Amino acid sequence: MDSGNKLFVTDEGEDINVDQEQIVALETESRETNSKMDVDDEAKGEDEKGSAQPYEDDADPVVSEIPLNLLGTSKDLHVFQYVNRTKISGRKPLKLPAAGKVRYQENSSMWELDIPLDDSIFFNKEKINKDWEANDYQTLRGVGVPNAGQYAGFESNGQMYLVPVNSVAQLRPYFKYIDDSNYKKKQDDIKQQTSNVPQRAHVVTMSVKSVSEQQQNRLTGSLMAHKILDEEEPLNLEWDRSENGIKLKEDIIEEMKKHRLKAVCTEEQYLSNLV
Amino acid sequence: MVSQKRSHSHDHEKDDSFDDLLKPVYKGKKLTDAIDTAEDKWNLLPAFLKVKGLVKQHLDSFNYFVDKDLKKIIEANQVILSDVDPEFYLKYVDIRIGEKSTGSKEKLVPPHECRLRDMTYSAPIYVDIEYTRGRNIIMHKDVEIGRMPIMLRSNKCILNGADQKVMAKLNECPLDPGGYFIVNGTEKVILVQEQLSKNRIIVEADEKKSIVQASVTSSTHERKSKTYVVTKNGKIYLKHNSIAEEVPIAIILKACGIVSDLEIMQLVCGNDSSYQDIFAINLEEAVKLNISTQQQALEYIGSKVKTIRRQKLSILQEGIEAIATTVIAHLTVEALDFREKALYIAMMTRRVVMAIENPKMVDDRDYVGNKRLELAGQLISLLFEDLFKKFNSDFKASIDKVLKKPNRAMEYDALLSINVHSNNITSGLNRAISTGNWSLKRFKMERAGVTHVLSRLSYISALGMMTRISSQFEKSRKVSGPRALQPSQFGMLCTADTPEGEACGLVKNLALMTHITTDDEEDPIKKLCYMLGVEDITLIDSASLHLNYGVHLNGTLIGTTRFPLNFVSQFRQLRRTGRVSEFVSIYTNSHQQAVHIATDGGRICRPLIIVSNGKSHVKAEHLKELLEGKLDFDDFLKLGLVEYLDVNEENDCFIALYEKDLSNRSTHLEIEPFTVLGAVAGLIPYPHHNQSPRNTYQCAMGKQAIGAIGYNQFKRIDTLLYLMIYPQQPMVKTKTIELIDYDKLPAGQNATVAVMSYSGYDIEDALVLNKASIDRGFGRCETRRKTTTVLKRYPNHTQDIIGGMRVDENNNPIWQHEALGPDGLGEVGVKVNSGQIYINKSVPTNASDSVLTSTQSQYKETPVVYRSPVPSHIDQVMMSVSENDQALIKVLLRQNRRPELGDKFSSRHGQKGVCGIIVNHEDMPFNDEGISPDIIMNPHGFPSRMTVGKMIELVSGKAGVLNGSLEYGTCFGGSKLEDMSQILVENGYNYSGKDMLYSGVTGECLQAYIFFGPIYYQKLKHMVLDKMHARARGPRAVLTRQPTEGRSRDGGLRLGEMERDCVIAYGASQLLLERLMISSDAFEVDVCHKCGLMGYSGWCTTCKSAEFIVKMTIPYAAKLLFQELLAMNIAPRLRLEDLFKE
Repeated sequence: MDSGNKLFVTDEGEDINVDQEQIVALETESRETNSKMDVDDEAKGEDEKGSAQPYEDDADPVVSEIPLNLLGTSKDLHVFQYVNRTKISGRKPLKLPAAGKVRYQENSSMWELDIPLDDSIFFNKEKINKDWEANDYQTLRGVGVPNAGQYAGFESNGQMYLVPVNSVAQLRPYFKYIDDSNYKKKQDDIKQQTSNVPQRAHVVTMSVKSVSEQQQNRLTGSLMAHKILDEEEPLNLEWDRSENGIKLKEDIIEEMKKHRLKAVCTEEQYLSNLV
Repeated sequence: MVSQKRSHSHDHEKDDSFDDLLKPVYKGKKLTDAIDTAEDKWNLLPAFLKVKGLVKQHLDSFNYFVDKDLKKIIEANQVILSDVDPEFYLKYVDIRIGEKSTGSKEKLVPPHECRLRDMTYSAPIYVDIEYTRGRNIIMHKDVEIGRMPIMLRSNKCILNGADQKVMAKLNECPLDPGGYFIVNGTEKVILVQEQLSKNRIIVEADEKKSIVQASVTSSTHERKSKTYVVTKNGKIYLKHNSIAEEVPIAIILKACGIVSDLEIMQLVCGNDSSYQDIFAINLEEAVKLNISTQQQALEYIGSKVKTIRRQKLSILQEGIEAIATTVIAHLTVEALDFREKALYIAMMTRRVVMAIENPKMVDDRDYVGNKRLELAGQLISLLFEDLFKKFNSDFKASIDKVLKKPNRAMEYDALLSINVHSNNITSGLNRAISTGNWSLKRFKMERAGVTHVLSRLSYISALGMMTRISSQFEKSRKVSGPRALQPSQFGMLCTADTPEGEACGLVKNLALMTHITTDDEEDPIKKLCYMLGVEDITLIDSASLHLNYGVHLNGTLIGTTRFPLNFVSQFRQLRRTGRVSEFVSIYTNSHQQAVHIATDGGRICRPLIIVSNGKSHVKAEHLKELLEGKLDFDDFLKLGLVEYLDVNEENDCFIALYEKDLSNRSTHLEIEPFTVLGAVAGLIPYPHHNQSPRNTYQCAMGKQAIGAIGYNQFKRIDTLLYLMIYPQQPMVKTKTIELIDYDKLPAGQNATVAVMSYSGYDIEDALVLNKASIDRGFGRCETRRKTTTVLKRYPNHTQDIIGGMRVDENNNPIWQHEALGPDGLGEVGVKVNSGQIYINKSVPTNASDSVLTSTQSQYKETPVVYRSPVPSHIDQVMMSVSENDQALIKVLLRQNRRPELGDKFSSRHGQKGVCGIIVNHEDMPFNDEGISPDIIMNPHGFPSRMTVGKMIELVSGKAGVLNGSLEYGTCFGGSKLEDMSQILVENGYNYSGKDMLYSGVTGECLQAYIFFGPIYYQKLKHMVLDKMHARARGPRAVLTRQPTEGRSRDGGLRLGEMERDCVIAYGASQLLLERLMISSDAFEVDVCHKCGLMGYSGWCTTCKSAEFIVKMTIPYAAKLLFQELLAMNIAPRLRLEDLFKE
């Protein structure tokens, strides 16, 4: 993703390792690779293909070749994309926010992050207390989309280390407080209406529903998914502010040293499997 | 020229018919001669047709349906659950047509027998099911759930792969292309249907009303719906049938989870400030309605939804359901993430914004690339799924009925009730194909006229029908767009073959070398795109979406690529090596900054030779190997020499027409330019020299020509068949003629034509025919007409019978029964005259009561009487049993006809004419060699028609006759006129084809040289014998007592309104009276001149008196009118006056 874009600023990715309940600030770069192939072979193969083509969109020369290391096992990595966050504020690059609270609903793979707001500038504290119920954080929410073929990587000693990514979540603001206050207002309205209207006796008709009819009313598709989401208790996670990221990197490098990936098939075979 | 037999060293299976295709000598080159240039690349054509055939599109689509689509349908409707018993389930595991799980194939009744016995050519549909019985799970294989009509020559047909011998044994014509069904004995074709492409965005603009709209017709197995993104007062809204009003686009996007205005702007407009200016106003809409969160937006939409559901949903749930399944229904969201949908709607909006900014960024509905062709397989698949769903719900209902009973004595076996409904599928399929009414409940769709009876007028008319494409447009609407010739139809749809009149341009025909794709799997292609470096759309943030080229798979954005050209060429590389299906198309659209990949079915495509660096990939050695049979067409695809391009991809390529046009920029080379024409237009010699409408006229007439229809033509018993007695192959052929075997089943004769005036009976294109030619068999044809009778059985055990012949006192049969044999049926070979009986059938008088009450059964004679001015001969008598066990009798009557005055003929250049006079041989002009013409044609036929091709045909034909060779008039090629003239000169004739003729009447030399030579003439089906009609008296209609209408009812000839005006103007009142009343419906009424009403038998019922009754004559229709008015409480009273007072 290039930032030739002048008006809008692109986002950055960040990884959170859930297993160890720690936060790692890794510089992520996703790259197409595949786990079955010998990495070096693939890199070469691509280069050859690239140069063999008569039509080059623009000059895209090979600058240097970097050895790749692939982690075969999953580290349960989840990538967050802060879709609406600007990269710079004025001229200073913004630091990645540290979330106050992290909630995760595993069955729906729904992430919710509470990011504390900078209340020093452009912030009306009174309004918070008056209109919205004391909110000094912004809630970001996003669904983790399962992903195959994406890797998070970091560079160490001129080598590239790649770890498979479980899911990618694009985080967008979630204005729950607006919905809540709306709901409250509506409830109040209903209450008022009902209290204003004098109670009158009215006829209640009841019908007996057959069992079979009820069974037909099953929610399906997206409605079902929303129902599951509403019913699921979120998992509260800690945001790790320590520098454990470095240790994780070392762990990964260690782990990769132990295993060397072997290609189970040739490039030809792989391609024919693929298509 | 010497023709030399080649000895083959075939790797592939030997195919006699294919060899014949390769035999002819072309452009003076024998096949054994060295092939040094790729000029002989036309040889790819027979190779293509060998693999693909002319009706391959029908067969492919049916095969796909039977082999793949059926399985998908079963999978989608796999399980039947019971509402009563939660334990119960029934699951379909597999489905097969005509084949058991053991692999043993069902023996089908051969197609010809089906034709003769009025049966349906079908195979059983077997399913494997798994279901519960009590506590056990039971697997049951090969359960028949109905019968599926089988397309002839498809892979389920017994003719599939049959050689000539087998075909002959089964009474089939080996040249018959197949691709049709036989339902209740009639051959039915499902015409190719043309439609706008599904699941693609089409942007249209109305500049006058300043409306821009992007629409997409979503089509899934479950539903069809259309979503619009439209402008209204400069703002953009989303419109859908099941949402009550237009929803502002910003709200829709917020409902999809794109809550921030910034991101909406990024998705729709990207960086482009002019787009941003146009779009910005839409963001205000959401603010005005005070909607800022996703939930608010969903609730807003939910409150507008007007779908009626059985299940009550909350407003929020309605909103979710609307976004997830209703809008853009082909992208159904199953989970929580609406991003895919948001992107699609944003793309639609972006296209609208682009079209507002630049009005040229709209799509053309008539562009062939935006069209999809729906074939037999797809149509049957839709129908079958509907019937299968109905079958399942009926089945489920009957299961529930049994399971509901609380205490059953026995364990319930669901299998017992499966067979009850199996007739629904069989009869549903049969009914739809035989009536052509396609009714699909789930789409609430009714379509009529989907199927047609296969026209067997001639071989070419049957072929023409198989390649025909009918459009969904209304014929009556006066629109020019859909009817116009589209540049994009080059090589895909025939440029000449379309009917005249109301369907002009709406009914099209496929070109010779086209293929129609079937559906391909999307997922592997998607994976491959990611492999080739496409960035996954789920990972791309909204800001960088429009920086790069978007990659669209079947209209849906799946990712972006930075190097579109690289990506496209790599993709093409993989396709050329056979790693991707050859029918997947890929092209870049730089206006939309997009790469489009299409895998869907119904796209028209055609093969082209691949070119790189200005050199054709197909070299002489490849063609040599092709001729030797070492390679076939598919090998050319695999070797990357040839590839299929669809219309969209063609636009991304640079195609050279001839090898000499190749440059470094060329990407492809045309195989043969004459493939722009279809099978029917391919018959025309030198069409490139004709005025274009003439070729179109010939396409219509070629289908009416009488000729041979198949090798099995004498075995067929059709309702009406025209056959030419001595058909000839044309002297001037075309490559297409050889490719489609028209030379083996021709429809016409080579007539020696003199272009001159003769006798004055040749005005208005009338032809002068030579009597001697007719005597020798020119234009002679026969008609064969079928009569079918069924001997019915009745509930009281009586049945129709065939009586024997009745004899007179000398034991000779009476005159009416002269044609009958002792069995009461006409004897084969006997002549039948008008009024004679050829099936002596009797029906029981009492068919309802029990036999016991009436001891002796009585019969009434209902013989089939022959009625025609000309006698017929009995050609065939067939007696058989139909599917429902009733005796079936078919009698075929034959008439032999020689040309007579008024019979219609035409050459192959859209020049028709009737026979104006038949002249004795001695009166015809003759040349030095004593040759006199078969036909004299008036030269006035040429100047305005400009059919130069006809003149060249004559010269080439004449040269061919003198040379002893068949010449070629192939489009954009063929024998050169110079060469032909050379041959004429060498043989002592004038180079121009003109001869000196002598008058047959005076014997003098004619004043001018006469253009004289052979032209191929077709006899058309319109013959005087079938049309001539006169009547003195005859039947009258019951209601009005006026003469009946029409020749078939022996009707009168109408003196119409305009003729009446003429007679009035002339003042011939007595003639008027005679024509309009006396000869029509004169009726004597009793009128009471006191009350003015009509009475009867001299008595006025109103006045109760006979005193004032007067008799007068009025038309019966007038009397009827008065009575009808009376019935409406209006009393028309006649006030009578004596005109001639004494």
